[in-house]
Amino acid sequence: MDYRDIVRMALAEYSEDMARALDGLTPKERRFQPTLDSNHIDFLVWHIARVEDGWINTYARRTQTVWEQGGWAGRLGLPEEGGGFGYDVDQIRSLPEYDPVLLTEYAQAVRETTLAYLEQSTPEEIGRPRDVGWREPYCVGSALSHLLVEECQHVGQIAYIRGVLRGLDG
Amino acid sequence: MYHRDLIRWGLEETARDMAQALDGLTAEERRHQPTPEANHIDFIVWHLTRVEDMWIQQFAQGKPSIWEADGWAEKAGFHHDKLGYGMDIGFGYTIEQVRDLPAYDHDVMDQYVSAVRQSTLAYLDAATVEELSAPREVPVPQWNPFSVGFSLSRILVEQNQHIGHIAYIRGMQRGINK
Repeated sequence: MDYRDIVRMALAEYSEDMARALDGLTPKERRFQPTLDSNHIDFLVWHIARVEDGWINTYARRTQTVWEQGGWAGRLGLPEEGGGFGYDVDQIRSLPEYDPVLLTEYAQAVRETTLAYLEQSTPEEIGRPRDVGWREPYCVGSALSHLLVEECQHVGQIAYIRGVLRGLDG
Repeated sequence: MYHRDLIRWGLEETARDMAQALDGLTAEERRHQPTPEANHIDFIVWHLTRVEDMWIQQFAQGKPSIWEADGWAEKAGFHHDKLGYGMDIGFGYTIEQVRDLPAYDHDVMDQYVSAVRQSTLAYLDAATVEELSAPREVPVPQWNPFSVGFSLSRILVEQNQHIGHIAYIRGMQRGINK
């Protein structure tokens, strides 16, 4: 067992949890905001996938994002630039409606790059400090741990919104 | 041994995010339930720590939980009957149990949270890769066979989902980034 197994297990588990939290939700439920300042599920799902794409492809692999390479902004009718980071309440509310099935395809395409990267990474490579520009000295390893932490928090938010709408275990 | 760094970083960030999501909340805000079936923050904080305690003390090391061993139930003002898998940790709670959770002392709970985390980090430092990978049996059939390595990844996944809940409840009460 090494860091690869830990990351793979965590990715698999939260993705399963996310699929369960999204299962059968209507478009209206996915856009529900319990308060005007609250994120809706459509926003979170898109943001989660864009965040993984950014950390793995822009930062770790130093290549184009899957988003750019696959022309996903055009296919989904969503912004070319940015993944929702720093959005204000108006931007969240007015996020264009998109096809959830297509978004899932994008998320899977990102995940394939994540798993491929993980497979060929080495402890030396991911432990090497590297500048991210906007936070403390960082390495790919800490980006991976951050990815798990952030994405799981967002998955929790999806499940909480579902619970607000449908009740306990609904 | 790189898995240790990865988990330690993850746990450090988790603790920071939880502290930030809880910072300055009133007792009333911590008990707020946006619907009668929604968990409140006091329940979530207690539950996520009890779960870490269970995985690390009981399942990884075969010891009693810190909660039980050091009498935290009494210190924090809990008087529950045991339920579920012989451990009262909030797993499978009904909406009534969530609602009626004792209003506990937040400083005492913070101390318990720190005691559990210290134990987790000490265990992580000492555990070998073989120990982390070895198949184990626990009294919850659907989790078998599990490995300690899996439970460490699970702690990150589960705790952060719960911290996402806390942050979302905070946001519902205070607005975005407040």
